Amino acid sequence: MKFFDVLCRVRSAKASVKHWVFQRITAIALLPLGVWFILFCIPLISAPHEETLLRLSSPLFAICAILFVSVLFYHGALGMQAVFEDYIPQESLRSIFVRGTKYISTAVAVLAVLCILKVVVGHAPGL
Amino acid sequence: MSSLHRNRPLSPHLQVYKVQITSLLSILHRSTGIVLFGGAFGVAGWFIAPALGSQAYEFCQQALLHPVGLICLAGLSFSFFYHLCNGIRHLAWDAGYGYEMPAVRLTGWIVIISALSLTLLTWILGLGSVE
Repeated sequence: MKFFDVLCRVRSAKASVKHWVFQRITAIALLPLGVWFILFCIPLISAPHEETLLRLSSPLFAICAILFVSVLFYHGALGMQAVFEDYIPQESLRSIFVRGTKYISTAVAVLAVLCILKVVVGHAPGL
Repeated sequence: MSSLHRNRPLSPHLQVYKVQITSLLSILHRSTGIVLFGGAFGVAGWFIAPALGSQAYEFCQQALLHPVGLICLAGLSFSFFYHLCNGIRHLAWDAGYGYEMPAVRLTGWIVIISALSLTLLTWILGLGSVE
């Protein structure tokens, strides 16, 4: 963890350090979450609606799904920011792309989380 | 003036460089990342559709199992496994390991072979479950 200490002392580049550190944290989190998605969601691709609803409504599955979608879009937005910063020289246009990506990612991730929660609540016993 | 402009040596373009495993894998990491960002919207859609009702769910399912959908899934699955494996390689570099050229080349080949095998394995097991 020595390199994290060194990085955090680089005061002049706070935003970049935050970007770098969060890109790594989300990458590490996506290793198990990505494997979970392949193992538990891909088999549902041809499953009937009822079966998918039943799986989605189990708390552990829903928690994994919510974490996967949130971290996925966070990591994706950080990655796209790096791409835009490398290839768009005009600052105003670059800012539009970076901000736009962040807003759209947040909106879609929130929508997906709400939809997962709707299924969980809809299938909860006694509701 | 115009002849001066015409005879000026050009800066080296991308195509004069020999294709090397180092640069090729680096470019692939970024391009698969961009592809996967698009795929993230598909993943979101896949989690959104079940909550919207069976009509939306079945539409989503038919789109995925349509030949065009399957081709997209093939590209996305390779992109996913490549980005995952090469991401582990990047995390090792961040921690200070694997900087010697023989190690860079060896881990590069390991990433390519792992990504291809994992993609193939997923499709063999996945198609087995579809029947």
